[in-house]
Amino acid sequence: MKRKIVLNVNNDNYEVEVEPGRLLADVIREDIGLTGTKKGCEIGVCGACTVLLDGKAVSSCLMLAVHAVGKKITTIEGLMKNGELDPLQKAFVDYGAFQCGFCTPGVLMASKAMLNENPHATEHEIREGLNGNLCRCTGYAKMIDAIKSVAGR
Amino acid sequence: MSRDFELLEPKTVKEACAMLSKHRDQAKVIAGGLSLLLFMREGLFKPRFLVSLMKIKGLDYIKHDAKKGLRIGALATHRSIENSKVVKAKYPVLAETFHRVGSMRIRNVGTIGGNLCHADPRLDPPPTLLALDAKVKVVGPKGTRSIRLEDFLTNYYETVIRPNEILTEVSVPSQPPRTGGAYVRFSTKTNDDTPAVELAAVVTLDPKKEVLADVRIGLGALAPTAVRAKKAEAFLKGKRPEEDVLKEAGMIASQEVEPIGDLRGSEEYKKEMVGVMLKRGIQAAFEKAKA
Repeated sequence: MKRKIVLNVNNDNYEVEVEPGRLLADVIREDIGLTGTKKGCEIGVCGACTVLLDGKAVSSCLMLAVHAVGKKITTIEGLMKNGELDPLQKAFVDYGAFQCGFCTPGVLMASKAMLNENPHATEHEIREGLNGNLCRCTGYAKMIDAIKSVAGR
Repeated sequence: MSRDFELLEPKTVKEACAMLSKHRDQAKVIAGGLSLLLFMREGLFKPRFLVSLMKIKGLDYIKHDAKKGLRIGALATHRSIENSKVVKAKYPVLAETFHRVGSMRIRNVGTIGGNLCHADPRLDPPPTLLALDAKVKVVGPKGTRSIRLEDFLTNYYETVIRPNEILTEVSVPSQPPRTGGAYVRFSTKTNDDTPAVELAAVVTLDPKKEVLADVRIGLGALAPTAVRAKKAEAFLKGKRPEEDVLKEAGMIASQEVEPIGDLRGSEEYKKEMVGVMLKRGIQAAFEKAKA
């Protein structure tokens, strides 16, 4: 049976009607219309669907939308503040840290969560923090350089 | 995924048990939901009711006192255990083990209760919890049962939990002085992939810190459940962890398991790796116990 829920995404409240089996990734993409969040493996392995829940990285493909009620959800669309790119986004542009771009939203959200917790993460911590975010173009080196440039500030 | 289930959201364990009693085989418990949603996606489970524990407050605690040891609420996430100051200080091997679970995203959501009830023999926490002699508390309409983890896990994805019971707490006794632990795992694919072989060792040394006074070894991914390597433990007790002793202990441990050959390695290969992991694990635990 469908139920009405309110999801707070990027500081906006969205009232949506969902079946309890609807996944957070699907509601964000299809009901709310924010398609920056990608679905890759759909089994919690690739990291393309990473969003933040109260600042922590989660796989939105393995979470019921109803379990995100009452939490602050942040997607890639919420990283920009007052028309300015987030320092991580800026660094990804400066370092050319993406190729096809499919994994980029997930990698950026995972990096954001990592630096929120540990603003001066070392290269080892960055590599470990990105464990579970797969890039099909294998463009990891530039991503790590970009994140390092922000963590080093 | 099957979407035609009804989501029930009890506020207390008692209420949850009552819902499970009412719906029995038609209901499944969901917490973080990672494993359950995968199984539902594959069509292995088609529950009519999901009883979500996420509205139950106060079940995500991590408490320690010298007498009762460590107690972890079923809804504590892997990440909260990994980052817990008291776990890091008193049970560093447990913090290290939880750090190895999946990726950060999985650890932020997955719970210790869900992990143990899922009872996949290849998960990270069970071997370490076995080596630490953990118990689980299970609550049902007829009261509470305290079960040793060793007796809780019975087969692939099976435990002794009844359909109307809920795992509420995992407890680990206090560790004696001169005790150290290590968790080692070997994966043939990516770092966060399911391990081919995993081993946890917890050793307590004699007052001179030379001999293994007590040894507990947990093995994972090598049998229908995570298991203790009791013959290897008995062999090691009272001995110094020297090269030839560890080699023989590894041989003994490899006879105690029945790995299946799969894409992560053949049966022979995994048995060989048990010896390698045992040596590394006991040596690392020994060094920590000495420190």
